[in-house]
Amino acid sequence: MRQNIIVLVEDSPADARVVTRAIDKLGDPSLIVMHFDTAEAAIEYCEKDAKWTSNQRQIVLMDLNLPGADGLTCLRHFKSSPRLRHIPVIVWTTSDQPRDIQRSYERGANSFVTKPMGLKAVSEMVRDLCHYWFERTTLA
Amino acid sequence: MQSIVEYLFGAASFMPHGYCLLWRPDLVALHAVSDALIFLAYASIPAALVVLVRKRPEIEHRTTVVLFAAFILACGLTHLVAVFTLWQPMYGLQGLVKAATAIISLLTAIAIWPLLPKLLKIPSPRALQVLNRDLENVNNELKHEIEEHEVTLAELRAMRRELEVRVEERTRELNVAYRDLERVNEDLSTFVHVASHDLKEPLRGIRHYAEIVADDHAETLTEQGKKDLNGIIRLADRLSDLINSLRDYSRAGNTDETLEDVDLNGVLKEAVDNLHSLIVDSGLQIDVPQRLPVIHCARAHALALMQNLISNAATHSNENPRVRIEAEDGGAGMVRIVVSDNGPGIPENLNEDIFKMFRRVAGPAKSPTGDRSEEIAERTTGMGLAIVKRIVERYNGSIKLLPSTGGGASFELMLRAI
Repeated sequence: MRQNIIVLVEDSPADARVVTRAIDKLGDPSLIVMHFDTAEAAIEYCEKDAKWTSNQRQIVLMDLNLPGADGLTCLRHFKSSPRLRHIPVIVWTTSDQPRDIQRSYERGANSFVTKPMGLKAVSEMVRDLCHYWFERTTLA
Repeated sequence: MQSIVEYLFGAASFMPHGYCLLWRPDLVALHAVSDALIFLAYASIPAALVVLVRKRPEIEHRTTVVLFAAFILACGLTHLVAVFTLWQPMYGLQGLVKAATAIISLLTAIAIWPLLPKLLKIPSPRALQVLNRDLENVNNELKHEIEEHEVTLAELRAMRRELEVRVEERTRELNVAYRDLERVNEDLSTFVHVASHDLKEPLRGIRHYAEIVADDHAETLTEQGKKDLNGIIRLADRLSDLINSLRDYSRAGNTDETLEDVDLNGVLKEAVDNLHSLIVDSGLQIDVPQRLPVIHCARAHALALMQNLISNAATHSNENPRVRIEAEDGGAGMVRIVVSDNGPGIPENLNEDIFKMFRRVAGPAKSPTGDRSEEIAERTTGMGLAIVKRIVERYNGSIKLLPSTGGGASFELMLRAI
């Protein structure tokens, strides 16, 4: 069975909860959330522990402000790693600063989305993202 | 030949002058000695005059002086001849000498009269002395004055140097103060940016948890419980708006944004899109009778300006709110933009206050639509006009409330044209 994995890099429990809940609410059993509090943990998992199979497709949903290595550092790692650089990384942050947007795309972000306010808005955004990346596009 | 000598030196037929004196020895001696002495004197005077003229080449009217010398010498000669005529009757020669003397005397007499006024004009040595003294005094005074001027000049130079030093010092101080101010501004803007982010993060959590509870436990919650949760959500939204407006206020003063020629018509369209829900909820009607100008600023600032002015009109107006945006040439390279609404207007005693941070003027009292307008009023943070003012002043423009002309508030903005 096909697995669509969302690697969520998010230090805010509330935001992680909202995203996880939104995905649960979609009721799609193929959607799996892997949540990490830090960039380091996410990288370690993706580089070493994850045994990607041909049935698995991944996207990374990553906050910019993270304790330890921040989102931009993590992004650079993802985009320079031969094992990981094909995975779409979606920067998802409260920031709407042109500087953050610019830097994210320069370091290879595949999308930049500003976290919306409100459960409904977040749920719709998560739904749209999953729909776009797992159904509308073809992943490597 | 014989006759000329006879004529000059006397023929035997004439008697010497001594006969007239009857050869009285005393008279003859008196005449002879006196005439001889006169001759000597009259001969020495011209000699002196000639020496004088020779040695003082600057003496003017030399011809006249020489004429005088000749005239005196001629007179002397007549007296010399008179000595000889006492014993020899040389009356011919005496006549010729007298005739020569007469001619020279006449010439001298003729020459002296035209010369007289000129001679009178020559200042006397005493007058010259006085004049000289005066000149010396003037000279001394001038010297003194020059000295004084030099002292003044030196003082002025010293003063200028001192001023230059002071200006340099002051400039240095100002530069330091300016750098400090810039740093403080930067710190403040960084602080506001970080604070707004860090404050909003937990706020989002509060709101989202409240929503999750309301959603997941909708069946078990009492009506009051649902209302209370809604209260939390509304307050979280309000706090979020306040934090956003603080951040916007901080951004309004940013000086590191790229400046460009911004077409306000495009900005207006974008502002209307961004404020879509507010405009729909309030039913705001926007009138722009003429095309708006292009101004030189950061695009983000122009957008914030327009959005705040529109939302200000939308949130402070009665039912059927309207806002009118007009622009015209403000002169002196400025654009004058007038934004007027049909709201309750602003009491005159508040017209300075409204531009301060977090100032909210009471909205329309109890409108028939009740809840809706209250809800809209709650969406204002009281920062809109403060942000507008900050942006306008950041570009050396100005904003003021125009005197009320029959209801509504009118704001006049002066902005630099491109």
